[in-house]
Amino acid sequence: MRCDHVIELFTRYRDGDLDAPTRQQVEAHLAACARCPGEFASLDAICTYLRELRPEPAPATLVRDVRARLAARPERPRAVLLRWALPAAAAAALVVVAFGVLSPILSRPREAARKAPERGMALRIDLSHVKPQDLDAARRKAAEAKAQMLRAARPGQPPSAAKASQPGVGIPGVYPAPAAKERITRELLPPPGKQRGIGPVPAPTGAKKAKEEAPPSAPTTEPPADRLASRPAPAASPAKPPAPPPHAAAAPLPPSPSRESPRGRAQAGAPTTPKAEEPGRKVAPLAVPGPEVEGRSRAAREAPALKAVPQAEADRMRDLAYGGRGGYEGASGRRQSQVIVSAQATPMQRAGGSLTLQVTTDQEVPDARVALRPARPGGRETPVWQGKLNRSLSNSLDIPVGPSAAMPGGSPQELIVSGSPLNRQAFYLFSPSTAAGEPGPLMGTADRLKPKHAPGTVSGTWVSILQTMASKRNLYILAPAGFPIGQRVRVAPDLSDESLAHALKRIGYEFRPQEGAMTIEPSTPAAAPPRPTRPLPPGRARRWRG
Amino acid sequence: MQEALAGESLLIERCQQGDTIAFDRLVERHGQWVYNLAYRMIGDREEAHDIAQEAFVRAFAAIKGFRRGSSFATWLYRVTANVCLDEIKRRRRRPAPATSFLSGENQRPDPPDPAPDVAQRVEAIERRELVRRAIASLPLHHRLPLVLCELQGCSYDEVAAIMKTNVGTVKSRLNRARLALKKALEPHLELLRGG
Repeated sequence: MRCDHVIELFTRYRDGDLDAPTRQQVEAHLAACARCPGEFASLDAICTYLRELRPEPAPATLVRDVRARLAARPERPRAVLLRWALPAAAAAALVVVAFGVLSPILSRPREAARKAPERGMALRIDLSHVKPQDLDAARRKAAEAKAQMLRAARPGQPPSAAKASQPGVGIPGVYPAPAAKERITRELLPPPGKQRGIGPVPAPTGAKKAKEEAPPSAPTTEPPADRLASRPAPAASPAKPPAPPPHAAAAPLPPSPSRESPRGRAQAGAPTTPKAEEPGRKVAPLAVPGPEVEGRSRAAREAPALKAVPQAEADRMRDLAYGGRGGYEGASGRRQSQVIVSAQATPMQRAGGSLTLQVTTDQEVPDARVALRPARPGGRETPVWQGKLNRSLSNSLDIPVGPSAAMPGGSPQELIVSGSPLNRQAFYLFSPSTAAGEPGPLMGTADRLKPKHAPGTVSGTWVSILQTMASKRNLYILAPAGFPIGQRVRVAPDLSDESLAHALKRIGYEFRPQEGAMTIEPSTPAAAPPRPTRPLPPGRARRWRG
Repeated sequence: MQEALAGESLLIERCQQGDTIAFDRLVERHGQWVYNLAYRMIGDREEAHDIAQEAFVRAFAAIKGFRRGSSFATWLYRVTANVCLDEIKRRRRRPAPATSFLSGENQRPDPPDPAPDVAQRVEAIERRELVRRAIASLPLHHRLPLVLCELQGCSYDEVAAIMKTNVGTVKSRLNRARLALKKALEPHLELLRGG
């Protein structure tokens, strides 16, 4: 048994759906093959994980919501009407149409159909309402009509008769073909003097001439630019010299790459074979920019230029289409999210002064920055890491912490992680565990304020997550280490920047929206200005040593 | 079991006569399953809530056509699957506006994991997210049998009845879906095994 065949049977083998001989064959292959056992183990591990996933609890309001939607449904009579009346009406209409189409065919006997012109079946219908005294006149009229029909059907008839017998003659708006062309040429084309880049055109004198003079795309007022451009400059008309249009009198065209093309060279004056010109036709030089000489259609010229979509953008669009957590241009116009996470200093007391920080993001943050700051008021930031945070996966940042960044034993510090998430959403941060393996003091119950809960309170040993409703962005705030547990914070129902600032002020922080950055700092006492940091070369991830 | 089925058929009978109170009981019985199917297919809790509501509304509108003797659960899940497929197709035609993704309702984080360790919490979130993305990347005709069979615990026959296809097709699609999922999740296998 070959590997690909065994792989095809993996599902059924795992589910015990194979018969005994096939199962033995698969097991024999798995025992002998070097690759397939690993493949099967991977598949089994994934399926096991899927089976062990806990079911999501259904929203408690589901029954109530369904009931509300059922109550909001339209009335049943309308549904019945839509269900039965519309198909019935459609069926009735179909029957009527079918009857109208088929009844002349079905009701006409074959013999009568053959002799209809002679016996004047149409006359018989028309005469049903004619008074007896007008019968002779009506019969004469019908005979003339029949004669006209016969003449029209007969080839080689004189033009006058043909014209007279044309169907539709005398009916407004219906023209035989030559007359129609003449009318279209006369009425639909713009006046000769108004044609762009074209000199005066003699008025058509007949159908044939009109056919000759009308360009192939007669109804359009603007022939293709390249065709016009390739025509030679006109000779002056003896009757009326052509008045060049304003744009035609402009300065000579600047050299453009398009002139390197054969068509461009033709326009630039290179010897070409001019097209046959109709007598009396005068064509003024048409000033068109270079790209038009290349023959782009009008629609293409007016269409916005397409830009190549970068791969990252394509990925985001794909995620958007799938309803995933994709990136996009945020409505707020800001593209930053700063999260303050507090960590105990304990991990930094380890030998070697290494601090491990795990950052989970739901997006890529190409310019993430991590800084340490003492939790005490007025502490200075020390940048310790800068680089790119990958999307979704755990970013384990192993930050070497030098003596200048180390704090006195046990004193809390804040880790400030900032950056510009690509999709302008916040990212989750988890502080490192303490030396004892316990989570940091702020890693307790994560709570979240939903709009319907606001205004509300958040309490607990907590990580509070404030949601800004006005700007439609999330701000996840992990409370600082010194934050009193159980502190209650009231959140405004519409959490704009002002209300967010107000909410943060109540927990002792100051919110400063800035251009391209958002800072949350302790408000009391006044924070010292941050120490200037060394500029980093753009686009390079680099580690900082404190 | 028999009593439950008898009770369910009684409820269905009453629903067919327009009794919404009886339908509430059916929603209570099958709400979690319907919601979970929608969530696994769509990957968004709020959308799943909407889809579950829509599925129940459609089911109530069509319950008169439900034939006695067949499985109401299978019938209801087929309705739910159809609503999910409609929603996914609608999204492909017209992606949701950016504001809906910016809003916290669609981006709300996973519920807190009771695991005390932060690292475990991080890993649990990562695992769920990885699997959600991997499932979302599957084509629809593979995603549905995978979700029904692996996540919802349906048998081949039930999946075939829900998808209105034969069991052989279900097995084939399920195998392909599993292999595709394995391919997508193979780089993170250690993470999944750790869970």
